[in-house]
Amino acid sequence: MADATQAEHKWTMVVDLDKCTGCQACVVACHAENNVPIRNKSEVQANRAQHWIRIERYWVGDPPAKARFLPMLCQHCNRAPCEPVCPVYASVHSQREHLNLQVYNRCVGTRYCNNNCPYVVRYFNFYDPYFPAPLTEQLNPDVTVRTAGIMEKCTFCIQRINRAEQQARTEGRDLGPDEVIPACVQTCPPSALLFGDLLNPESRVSKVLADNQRALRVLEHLGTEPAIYYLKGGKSYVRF
Amino acid sequence: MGLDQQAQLERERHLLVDARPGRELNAMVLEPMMRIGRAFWPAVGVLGFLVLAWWVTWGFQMWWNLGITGLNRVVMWSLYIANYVYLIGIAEAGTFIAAALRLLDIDWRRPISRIAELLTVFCIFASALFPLAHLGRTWKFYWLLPYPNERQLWPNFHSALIWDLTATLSYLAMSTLFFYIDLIPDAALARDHVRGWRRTLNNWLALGWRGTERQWRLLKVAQLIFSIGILLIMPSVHTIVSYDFAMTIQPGWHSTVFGPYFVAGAIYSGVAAIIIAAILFQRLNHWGYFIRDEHLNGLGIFLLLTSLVWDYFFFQDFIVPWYGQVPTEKQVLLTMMAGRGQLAFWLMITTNAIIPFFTLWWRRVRTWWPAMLAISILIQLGLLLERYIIVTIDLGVRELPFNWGLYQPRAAELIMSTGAVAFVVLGFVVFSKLIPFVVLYEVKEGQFLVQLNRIGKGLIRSKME
Amino acid sequence: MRGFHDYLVLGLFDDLGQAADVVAALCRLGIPEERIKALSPFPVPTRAYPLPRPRDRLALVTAVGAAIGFLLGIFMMVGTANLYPLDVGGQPLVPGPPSIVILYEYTLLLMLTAVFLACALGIRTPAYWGQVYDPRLTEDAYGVLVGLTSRELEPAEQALRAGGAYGLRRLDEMGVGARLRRWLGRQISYGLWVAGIVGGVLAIAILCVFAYGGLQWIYPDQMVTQQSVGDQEGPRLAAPTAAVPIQGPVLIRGQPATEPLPGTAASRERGADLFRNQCYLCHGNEGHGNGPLAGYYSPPPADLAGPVVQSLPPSEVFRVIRLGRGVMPSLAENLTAGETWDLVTLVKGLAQGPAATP
Repeated sequence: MADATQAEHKWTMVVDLDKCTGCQACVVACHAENNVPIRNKSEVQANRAQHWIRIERYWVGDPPAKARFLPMLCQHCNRAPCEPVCPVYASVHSQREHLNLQVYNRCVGTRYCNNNCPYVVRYFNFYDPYFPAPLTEQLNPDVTVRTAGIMEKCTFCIQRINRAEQQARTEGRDLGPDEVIPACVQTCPPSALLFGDLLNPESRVSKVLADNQRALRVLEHLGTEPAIYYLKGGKSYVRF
Repeated sequence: MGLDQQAQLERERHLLVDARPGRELNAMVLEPMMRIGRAFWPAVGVLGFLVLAWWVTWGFQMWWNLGITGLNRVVMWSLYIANYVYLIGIAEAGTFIAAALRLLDIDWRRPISRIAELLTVFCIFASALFPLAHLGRTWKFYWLLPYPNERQLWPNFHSALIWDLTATLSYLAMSTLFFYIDLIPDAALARDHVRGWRRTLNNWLALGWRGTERQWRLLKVAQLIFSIGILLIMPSVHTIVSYDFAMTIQPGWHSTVFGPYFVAGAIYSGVAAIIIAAILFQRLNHWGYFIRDEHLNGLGIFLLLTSLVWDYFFFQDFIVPWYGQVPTEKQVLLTMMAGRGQLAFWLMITTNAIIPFFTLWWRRVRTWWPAMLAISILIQLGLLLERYIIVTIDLGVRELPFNWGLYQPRAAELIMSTGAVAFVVLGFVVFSKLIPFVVLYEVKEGQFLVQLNRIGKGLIRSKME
Repeated sequence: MRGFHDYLVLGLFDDLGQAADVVAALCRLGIPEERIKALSPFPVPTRAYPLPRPRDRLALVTAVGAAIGFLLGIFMMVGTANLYPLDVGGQPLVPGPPSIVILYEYTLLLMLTAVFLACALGIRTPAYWGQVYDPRLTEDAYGVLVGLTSRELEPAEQALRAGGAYGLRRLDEMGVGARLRRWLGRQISYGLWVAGIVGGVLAIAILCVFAYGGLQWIYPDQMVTQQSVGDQEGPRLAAPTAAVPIQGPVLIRGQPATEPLPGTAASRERGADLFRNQCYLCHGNEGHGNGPLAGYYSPPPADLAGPVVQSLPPSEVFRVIRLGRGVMPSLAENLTAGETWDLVTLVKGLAQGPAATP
């Protein structure tokens, strides 16, 4: 009987920039799934907007300039710069799942991890989260609500990964090739986001990434070895 | 000039030639300690209020959390860390003056050692509170300490913050012990010649000091070992503080020159702070006898020297990214020089590089206390700005342009910064009434060792080795 | 000095030369060198006095302290990493250059702490020599302190006076009180060592008690209580009436859709039977939430005749009976769909009158 909770997976996400319309549905889905608080207007103006996945917009060229969208989320680097700098081991690497884990109850809030993250995808809870009733009814019971003073970031919906693995173990089978779907991937209307296990040759991401001319990774020269591949073809307006 | 005139001149100029009876020296040092002047309580009041405001604000911040500061997603370290680096920088020079100059046997350190060491102790204490203040969950700070526990976790020794913690706490403990060792004979002196609660306090501090040969030998050997040890620890502490920045891959921070650069800046700001303290005590306590032109001159030369060293390292840190033109690093420089950092940057250049270079070469300036006071205060401002630039301006320019962020300090951070400086000054004001502030046994020893010898028609100072 | 002297005598001198001559004179009188001490307000060159150089073991203390620090550093870097291994950023478990940093710091820290403790203890002890003292010793007087037997007393005092001593003081130790104080002084010296060690052990023990959860400060920051879960453990908000119109079949995931049965009297009677079996124990006779077992539950069973439940659409009542709600269990395995609809009919008619007879 296979124990799916012990199998090794290399969770990978593929973001197809040629399909992304910048609609931000993934942002909303992530908020809903992961109990990410919504910060008010003055906080956003103070550059404290809190979205685990955000659509970065770059204006390219002289006016009328073109806009290019870059969905940016935690890249789950295999050589994550955020991990060695955390003094309390709140940011560690899972060798089985090849994920960067954030341990909320261990975090003391030194914020060193975000300083070392070249993608700046880690978020600090500057205030306690405020969910006005009845939004509290919508909170996901599988996910911790982080209080003030704690760093957080995209987890590749690890609660969904865990639930799928446990379901597979109960049923005595291996995890299916595309069984795990994070919230953002689930919601993306043009299916610009794909997610799967790179070690499984049957998964969509393996098939998409095999021999793909358009594949690139952001800030690859820094040697962080991110787990997210961006597909960009055609005329390249922005060089990363 | 006749011999008498020469002798008179030498005595005026040099403390160690101007020997006076021990009773007179004791009185000169103990009298300001015993007397509470008119300015004492108002000073304590104002400074105490600022320190209280600091702690109250910190309490607010622990309740409401760091949202009340100006930190944001991009600039996650700001004035607190800048203050931490700044204060620990000042602390470096205190023990440096006491330890290095003792090893090198430079005499103008003798009256100002205690002021220097006390500056260190208070500055480290104040600075060590800032990493606590900038924690998101300050009440869990003890998780950073290495001790056996049930959490199946020890601190992460890969992290520069843990090296920082080790180094800061070591330096705090060691400088306090160093300060205390140097204090023992003077506490005995106070114990013998004052009355009241100060006598009890100094009696405790003096550890039953009698002045026997054995005790002096123990003290001197311990001072020697401590001086060497502190001189080994001191540059390592500030280098490790610089590792907080250099260990990251943030453009602008990822520089190998940060280690020596920070140490140079530290000694620079610390010497300036000692000059401020020495001048203030000379003026307020009427210590023209103890702190003379020769001491200010010595300190001034040292300040000039450290200023040049700082200029050198700053130039290294500047020319390398400028020449390489790597886009992110170039953007950091542009922001610093012509962007939102320009006011701070050019002010820093003026106060740290230009003003000292064009004033401190002349002995006239070095021995004129208003000028030295002004230059030193400007240097303090300049070095605080330097740390501010490194922490917040550099951090505001990340790899991708979406993550270029502005930072503006808010009331909470400003109150805490002023409170910390007020804490250091308050410490001085209060302790000046508790313990003798001149290292009298070193002055007496110096006066014993230095003599005037007649060579031909002249009187020459000589020192016994 | 093992206390074979009976008197302590202190003489003060203006000049270092005088004091040194007197020390030489005392040595010539046959007084052992360990019983002669030279005092000064500042450190004087040791060669000035014809006394042996005082021995200190600070070099050994330094080495021992440094060694302990080094070993502690090794434990921190290698020991803790291997006790609970965690992967961070692809770095090796025991990183090279950071180890050097930590070893350096720990070595110096322990070394200097050891030196300080040795120095402080050395200064403080033995304390009984300090019983004779003159405050002028911290002004500018040099002192010679000598421990004498009664035989040596006269010639020694003569030698002191001849050498130019002023302010001669003598402590007569013949008295029981003086001997007692001397003994006590020695005990205090040893006591400081013991107190230090015991205190250190005690501190570590207390730390371990706290660290291993023997004593705990409970403060309200435990992540165990979660807002996301807590809200779903209590009474749930129902949608306002007619907010989400649910007519027609009831859809429950994984089960076939079911249509409501007409609310006939027969249905009501069947429902009453079922109510007696399934619902009465908690919800009570008339469905007011006051059954025999009602008191055991928090929140208490709902008042089925009350306005909240009566305003629910029939499909919602069906769903609650099928799926359970909060403390109420799911009855999907106890009742068929038809039986559930009968109960729905009954519940909806509760406002008109009592449900069942016991």
